[in-house]
Amino acid sequence: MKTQLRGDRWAIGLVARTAAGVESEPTEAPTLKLWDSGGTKVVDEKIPKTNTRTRFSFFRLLDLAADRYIGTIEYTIGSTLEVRPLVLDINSAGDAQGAIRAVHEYLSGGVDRWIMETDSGNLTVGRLPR
Amino acid sequence: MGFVTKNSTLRAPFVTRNGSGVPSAPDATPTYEIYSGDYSGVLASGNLAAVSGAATGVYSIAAATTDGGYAAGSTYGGVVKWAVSSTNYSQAFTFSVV
Repeated sequence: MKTQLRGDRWAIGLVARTAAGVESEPTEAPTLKLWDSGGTKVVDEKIPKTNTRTRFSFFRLLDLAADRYIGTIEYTIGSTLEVRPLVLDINSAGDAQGAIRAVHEYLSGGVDRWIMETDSGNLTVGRLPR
Repeated sequence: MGFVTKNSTLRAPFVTRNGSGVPSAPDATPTYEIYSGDYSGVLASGNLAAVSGAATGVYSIAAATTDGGYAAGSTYGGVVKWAVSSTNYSQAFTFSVV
């Protein structure tokens, strides 16, 4: 049985870069997509801009079931589509373990920062070079 | 790619890119290999699958860790291989079985 996590929130930080790694403003807001382990797309949403034209954050209530989600953040710079992969691993406990696992995924993923907010407090890691 | 519980399935996305790093459609379906802990042999291999509704070049790996050769507490390495316009590319990855 899959367990919903209640009250937890998560965020993804993104620095838009060209394929060559140059920080650049996308043509429009990036899109976050997530698929569950059955291959069903469960999230397909635009990521709002933050304080700059090249840095974005996505923050939402964690209302996804326990599963290992794969995803992408897509954005266009000029006429070139860039795709950044990510994995979101949510456990059924709804505690910091889920956050830790998700952060670990970040270390080898394409996104720049994970922030997991749980009942036990925020867990944040800094941005890594792409 | 982080932690994978033994007897579960490793799942992760990959993006096939050309030599300039631009996401590109591969010439054929990308393949993967996962190596034993000491890299002396191949534990698993197969094809990646295109992710439905994703951008060009987005594929996912799904490798079960139920087969022999995986031990909890060990880290394993692998590689994803593809070609774009007849030029071969690869991307290495690691994961830990818990």
